[in-house]
Amino acid sequence: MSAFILRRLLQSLFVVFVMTLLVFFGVNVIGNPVYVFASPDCNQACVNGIIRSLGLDRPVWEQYVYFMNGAVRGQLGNSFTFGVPAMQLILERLPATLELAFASLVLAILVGLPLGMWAGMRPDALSSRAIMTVSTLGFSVPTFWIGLILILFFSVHLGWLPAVGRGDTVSVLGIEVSFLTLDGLSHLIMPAFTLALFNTSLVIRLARAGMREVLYADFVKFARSKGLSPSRILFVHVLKNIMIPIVTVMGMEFGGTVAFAVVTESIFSWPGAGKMLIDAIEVLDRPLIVAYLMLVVVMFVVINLVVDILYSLLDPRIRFSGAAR
Amino acid sequence: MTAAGGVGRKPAADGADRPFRTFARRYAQSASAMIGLVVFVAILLLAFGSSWIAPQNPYDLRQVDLLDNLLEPGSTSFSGMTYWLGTDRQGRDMLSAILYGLRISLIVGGLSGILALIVGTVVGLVAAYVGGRTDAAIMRVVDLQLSIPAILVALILLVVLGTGVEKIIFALVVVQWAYFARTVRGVALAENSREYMDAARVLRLGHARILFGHLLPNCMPTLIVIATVQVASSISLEATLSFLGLGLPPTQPSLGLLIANGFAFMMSGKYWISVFPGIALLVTIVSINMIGDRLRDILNPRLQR
Amino acid sequence: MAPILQVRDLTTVFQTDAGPLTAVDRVSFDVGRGEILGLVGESGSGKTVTGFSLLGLVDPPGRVAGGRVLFDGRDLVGLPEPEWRRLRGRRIAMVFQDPMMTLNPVLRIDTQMVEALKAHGVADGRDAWGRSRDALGRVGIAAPEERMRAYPHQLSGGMRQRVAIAIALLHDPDLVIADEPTTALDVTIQGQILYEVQGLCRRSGTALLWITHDLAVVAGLADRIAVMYAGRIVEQGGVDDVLDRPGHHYTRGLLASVPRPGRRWARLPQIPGRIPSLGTVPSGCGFRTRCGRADAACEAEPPVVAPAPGREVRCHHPVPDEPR
Repeated sequence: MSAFILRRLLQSLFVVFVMTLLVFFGVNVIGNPVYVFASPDCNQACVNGIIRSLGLDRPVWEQYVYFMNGAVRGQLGNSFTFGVPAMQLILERLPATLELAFASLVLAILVGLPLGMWAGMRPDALSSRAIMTVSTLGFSVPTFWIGLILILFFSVHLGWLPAVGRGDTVSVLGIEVSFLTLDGLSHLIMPAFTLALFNTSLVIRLARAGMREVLYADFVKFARSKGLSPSRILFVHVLKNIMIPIVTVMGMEFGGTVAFAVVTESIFSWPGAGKMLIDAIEVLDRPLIVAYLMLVVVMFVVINLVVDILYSLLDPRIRFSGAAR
Repeated sequence: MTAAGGVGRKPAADGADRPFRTFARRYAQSASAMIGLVVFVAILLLAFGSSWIAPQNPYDLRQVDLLDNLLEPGSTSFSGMTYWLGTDRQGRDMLSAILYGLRISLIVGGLSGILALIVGTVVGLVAAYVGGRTDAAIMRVVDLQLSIPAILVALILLVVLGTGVEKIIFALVVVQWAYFARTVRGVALAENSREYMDAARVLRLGHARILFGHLLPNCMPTLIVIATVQVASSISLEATLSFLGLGLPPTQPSLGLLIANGFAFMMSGKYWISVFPGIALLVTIVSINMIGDRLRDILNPRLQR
Repeated sequence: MAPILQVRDLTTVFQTDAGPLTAVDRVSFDVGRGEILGLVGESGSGKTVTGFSLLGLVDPPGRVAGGRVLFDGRDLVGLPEPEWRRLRGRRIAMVFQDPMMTLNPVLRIDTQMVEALKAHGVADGRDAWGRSRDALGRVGIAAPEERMRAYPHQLSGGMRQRVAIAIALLHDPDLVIADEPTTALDVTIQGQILYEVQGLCRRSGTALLWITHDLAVVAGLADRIAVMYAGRIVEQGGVDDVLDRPGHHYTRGLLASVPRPGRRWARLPQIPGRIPSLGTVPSGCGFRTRCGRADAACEAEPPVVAPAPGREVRCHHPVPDEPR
């Protein structure tokens, strides 16, 4: 067991290392940020001053060593535009992103699970086919456009829901959250729904497949032979079984959801880290871009690691049958 | 099923000598698949005939009148032309812009899909055929690639590379090749253990002959299905990236960029600039997926279960 | 006293694209109170579906299409689902074939036992827990207190089957249907479990319908035996009667194909061909295509011959009664 954890840990460290190389060298090839700061009447001396202050006169590898040296201590340089540590900026915006991503996962399960279970119980019903068609669409349709349509309909046309921002927030344990105020909730619902589309489709698929498998399992028949009520069988025996893969996959999808929040945040001007990334890309604010990418990559790797380890701890059956997927 | 039959070549009772006709007949049994096919062919014709069909060339400044900007659908210009889908901020006819945008979206999606297919197939076949450490190393890279969200990889690449048709195609290939590689390897490994592969080896056929003459044809049905789905999803991803301003340059606006341009005007109720390109995008993707679903049903009994 | 279970012309049909397939065909038998009936047949003979039919657990596209299942004098066929639920587990219980699959993998043993008690409103939480633990002890599980808190995968196959048996016996039911409960287990454990189940049923007066393909198991366990072939019962009677003087050629073939000591080098006789799949069962006597004694008469529905009370053979040409 500990050998397994150690191996996964080393693997994860390696992935993070490769990603730092890619991200850093990649980002440092792009355009020259000097011109973002240099005013039109800036002369050569002024330009050189900017280059020195940004550390751009050093060789790239030296910049990387310097960068890694800072990175392990969580310092990824100052944002070109804001002049404050990039990591600090990203971390300030991160709670908004995490709230959005988390809300969308919860929404995906709340919506997708009943639909998928229904489709699994009545595979030939018209309603089930409609559900499966919608889930197929959810995988392929560009969700950003759905977001636009939602804004057009609920904000512009009906005027029910606000189209931009986070609304009122409440501080819980020092973190600002939207979902506890009515105003914040009305801001959260559309972006969360848009972001949840893909995962909802995924949950529908998983729940349906799970139902098809579990409903015909011997243990369900045995449970019926004990005289249990249908609701007890469905909500305890069946649900608990299909929830294991769903929760696992949702855990693994969390990183991807955070990454995809970049798009959703841009549409709804949700003040999260993703919106900040897009703004940073427009002005080539390298430290900010690097800080965002590194944070998401690390988060992603850590989530995968934790899910893997938890899964193998919780369910010893996995250890014998190999990987989860 | 005989060993040499493969999946796609399963002889049907009524058309063993005419596999394509059998295939076409089975395809036509699904109404939704036929609708998808008809719609997709229509879209192809419209997109690639856009130079002739479109009422104007929206990127020829001589044909565009800035005074006609932001007209509602159905408006008529001074010169008597009707803008069925309205105009955008520059006074371009949206219908024409959509047709031109559709062409770019299809080219980007199709090309990246095909390139990813080629790269992924070669890598997957090599992994399955060579095996051992090469296989393990390749699959490790594939797993790594698949474990990172596509949007993140594409974002990093486009931030690094900048905008441009060839750049977004490159990014989309990087994002997609691993799917093909993993699938091809899986199918090829299964095929590899079949009798006809032993026969081919006993006959001492050359590596290339075995790989491309025997293994590849048996992977084709699965590949076609994945390629269809991947083309749809890469069109979608390209639109998403262009919407973020990271895909194509403004001189070559795909549907995603058109939607992004219209976004700013939506709040003031000028819905048409975003909505119509979006519908075009939606219809394209859905029609491809309808085709893909049917192909999966016919070509790949393994996936049915 | 009337038998606890009287099955009359039970017919179970599966609706398929190719038309209806009859899995259980006009099956009739009795199980007396406290009696052990062995229902013997090859896989595909319809014995498992018979078991499910008695509990109303046949899933669509299958359904009980005819006949009566008189349980304690009351016909169960067509009973509404809530009524079924009150019977299941409380008065008729079931033990399944594969202990690896019958317990829910994500629920602890105690949960799965206590819910069986609570489903019939028998006990409050603490009481139910104690009763469940005692039931585990009775089926020979050591340290039942600990096992109660285990998940199924932490137990061995034999242990799991004991748990399933304990659950089946929780309510002291009148009838337990056991569908090959020892087939998936090691031979030594098989023996222990057989012995214990027999003892438990005898003590509590529970009747037992033991479904199996293994004649040796039935020989040592059952009071009476019913042999099933292609959806029909071809022969039934007292266990010694049937095993010593089989009246049906199928039963005889089955007995002859069991290896026995002292005949080590002799070739085992086999029944030619294989059991017909549903839908390909020949008309008249279902066994006639494999039977050495079959002639033109066998194409007609075979008559039931009753050489002795409680003894039935469904054959045109029963094996003549000769001591072996």
